[in-house]
Parts: sequence; C-alpha cells; structure tokens
Amino acid sequence: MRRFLAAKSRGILFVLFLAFLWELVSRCRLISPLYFPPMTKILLVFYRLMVDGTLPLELMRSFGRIFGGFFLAVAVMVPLGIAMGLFGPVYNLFEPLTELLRPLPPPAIIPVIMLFLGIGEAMKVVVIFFACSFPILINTMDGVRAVEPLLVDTAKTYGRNRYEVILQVILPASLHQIFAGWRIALPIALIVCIVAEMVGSLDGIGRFILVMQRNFNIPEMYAGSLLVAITGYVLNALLAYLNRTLIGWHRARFEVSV
Amino acid sequence: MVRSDDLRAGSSEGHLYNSRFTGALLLLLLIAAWELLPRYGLVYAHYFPPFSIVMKALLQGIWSTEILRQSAVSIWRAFRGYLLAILFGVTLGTLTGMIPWLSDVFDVAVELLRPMPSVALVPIAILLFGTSDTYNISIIAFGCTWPIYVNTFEGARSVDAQWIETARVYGSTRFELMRKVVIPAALPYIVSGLRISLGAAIILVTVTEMLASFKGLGYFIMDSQGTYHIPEMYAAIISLGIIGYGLNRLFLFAENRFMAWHKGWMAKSI
Repeated sequence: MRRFLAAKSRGILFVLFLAFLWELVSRCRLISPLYFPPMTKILLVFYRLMVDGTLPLELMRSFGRIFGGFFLAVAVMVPLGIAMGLFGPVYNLFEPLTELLRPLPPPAIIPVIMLFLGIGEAMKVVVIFFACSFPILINTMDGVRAVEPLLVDTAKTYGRNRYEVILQVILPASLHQIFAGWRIALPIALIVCIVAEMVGSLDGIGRFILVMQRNFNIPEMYAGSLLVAITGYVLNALLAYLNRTLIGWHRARFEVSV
Repeated sequence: MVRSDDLRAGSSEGHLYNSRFTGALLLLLLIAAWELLPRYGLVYAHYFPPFSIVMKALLQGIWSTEILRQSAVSIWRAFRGYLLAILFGVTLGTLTGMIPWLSDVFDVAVELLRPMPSVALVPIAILLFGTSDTYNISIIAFGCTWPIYVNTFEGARSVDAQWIETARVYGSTRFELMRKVVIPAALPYIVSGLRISLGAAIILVTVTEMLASFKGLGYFIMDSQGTYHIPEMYAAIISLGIIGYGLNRLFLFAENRFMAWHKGWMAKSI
C-alpha cells in the first residue's frame, strides 16, 4: 500500500489540486456557483444521498437492467459466436445480417423499442442486449478462429470427438478473447442504460441525473454524475482484476504449449 | 485457424450453404417478412410500417433534402468533436508517453476520468452550454479523447529507445523528436485509437441530439417518434446506419492509402 501511494503520489496530488481549483473557481464565482457548485458541497450532498439510500436505490435499479441485458447477450451471442467461428455455413448465414446491423448506433434503436415495449424494464433490457451483442459476438468468433490448429489436431489424434474438442480445447483456448468481448460490452451496457433511462424511464440513475438537472437541484445532479463516474471506475477495475486472476493462467498454458 | 471442415465428418466444398448465398437469402427473407407481416396485420403496421413505405420515406427525405440537411448537421458536429479529441488525445498521449514524470502527474486523473460514461456528463454540459453545438461537441470530444489518448500513450511508450537516442545524438530538439520520431513510430497505435473513437463519435452525436437538440439526425429520430411520423423515424435510423458504415469504410480506405508507407518505413529502419 505504501509503495502504491509513493508511486501514485504525484498523480494523487494533481487530482487534489484539480479539486482545489474547482473549489476556488466556484467560491470566487468565476463560473456561477449555481451551475458549478463548490466541490465540498457536491461531496456533502453525495454523502447525504448515499446515506439516505436514494442514490444506491437508483443505481441498483440500473444495475438490474444492465446485467439483465448483458447476461442475455452473453447467453445468446457466445454460442452463436462459437458456431459462427467454427462452421462456415453458420458464418455465411449470419455474417451479412450482423454486418448490416453493426454500424447502427445502439441508442438510435431506443425510440423503436419504445414504440413496442413502452418505457418499462423490457425496453431497457432489449436495448442493452442489442448494444452488448456485437462486441461479444465478434470477439467470440475471432477468438474461436484464432485457436491454434495444432491444439485441435492433437486433441483429435487422441480420439476426442467434436463436442469434446469444442468444450475441452476450443472454449478454454479462446477464453481470453471471449472475455475481452465482455470487457468491451459491459461499459457499453452502462452507457446505453443511462441513455435509455434519460430518454424514457421513471427511475434509474440516468433518470435521476436528468430530473435533478431539470428541477435545478444542481448539487444533486453532480452527485449523481459522480456516482456514475465511480461506478464506471469500479466496473473497469473489477474487470481488469478478473482478467488478471481468471485469465492470467491462460497465456502460460496456451502459448507455451505451441 | 480452425477450419469448419476440421470438425465435420465429410467435406462439403461446393455446397450452396458454403457460399454467401444463404446470408443474402436470410436478408431477403427478413425484408420480405418486414414487408408482408405489417401488410397482413400480423404486427401493428402503424408502429412497424412495411419496408416499401419506409424506403419511400427515405427517398422522400433525401429528395426533399430534409434527411440530407439533418445528416450534415450531425456529421459536422461529430467532426468538430472528433477533431478536438484528436488534438487532445494525441498531444497529451505523446507528451505523457515521452516524459515519465508527466505521466506520473496525469496518471491518476486519467484513470479516474477515462472509465466515466460520457453520457453522465450530458446534463452538466447542457447546464453549461445550453443546447448550442458546443454542448454536443464537448461531449463528443470528451468521449472520443480517451481511446485516442490511451493508444497514443501506449504507442509513444513503445517507441524503440535506440531511435530516440539516435535522434538526440543528431541534435534534434524535443519538439522535433516528437514530430519526426515519436508520432510517426506510434502512428499504428494512434490509428487504432482513431478508429475506435470514430464509432464513439457517431454514437455520442446521436445520443446528445436525442437528449437535447433541435437539429440533427438524433433529434429527427426522436421528433419523428414523438409526432408519430413512424416511417420517417425508420428512414432516419437507416440513414444513421448508412453514415456509420460509410464513415468506417472511408476510414479503412484512408488507412490503407496513407498507412502503407509505415510498414516499409518500419522495416527499413530496423
């Protein structure tokens, strides 16, 4: 911990300096404190809203949607990606469709889904599912295709059948790439969820931020944005940690073996 | 490469399902379903108008220049935000990649800001800039800076130390070093950052326009939905997809055209 602090001391000082600058700019009214409240005030409001449960509740509602859409995308797109990576006919069948849908900015489909599903949970889950689908699908497909043929041939020589080869060789050997797709998709899920909540929702953290702005509860709005920033940071750190601990063994095992 | 044949019993070269025919067929079937399902009332035609009606709305939108004008507004906003992001990202990334103490200073701040979903800043940007173009541009610039910054930083750090030493020995100043050695050598990294950010720019211009703007494709989509001009809404979404696809293609074309020298340059210099 001490070594960490020593390495990061300049960086932490710089962040504290920025916070101080923020405080100064606001207190000296260089920008109207109405729009740009002092840092200390934002932090106080943030603390109050965290303790009284307002912010955690909104965040939990958003998380339900994010993970719903994300896991749905994993459940559908990982098997499809494996099939597309391994079997030419499946690839040929779905490739033009995915190429056609991929350039579409995911938030653009929110109004369409709203027509059919209203502004309930289903709308958000479907939109998040759509947004997460492509990174997961494409990374799974690329990962499966990049598996060293030597590994597959060896397994076949030792008499493994097709399903055993997929489960015991191809899946473990492409795991890091599949996980890379999840790492791209999860932050996208967070972004798209916030957008969907801002466009059409009754609750959730995205809705909270927008309503606070419209009601001119500016410190509350900043507190909401701060929570989103922290969430993004924690999510990112968690995924990096999972990548190191769960996938760390991977490189040693599959790159030495070749 | 795992070939599909490796895992199948017999080879099936030459079969119809090994060509791209099936994919095209699937698309045609989906379009036929899009046309016929609403026509026969199997889905609510008001929300899901037949394909031909959407295409007609698209052509009318192009003919009346409505869609072209809205697209131009969106592209122009995205372009300016993207340009700012390149300016910030490449400058900051090169400097921190070259100068260790600078990277120490910025490290924590960048790690805090980078994973921040830029859409959470939308209400703040509206507050500060109103619904002017500055609002869209600031959000796009913020969101697009990070991929460019991170890639440039990685690229600048991985420049062969020998090259930098050589340039120093020959008396190049720090600025020359940056302009003539570090940035060219880091260019492949920078380009991959640029490509990620291009996609982000299109998404962010759509989002910011959907939330608070009175022009642009994002606004047009929301407005058409709100006023129940449903075919126009679908037409605008399709245009957005075409723009996204077109810009990505343009990027790949430019990359092939202008980055070809890089391979030769790197190979020669090693």
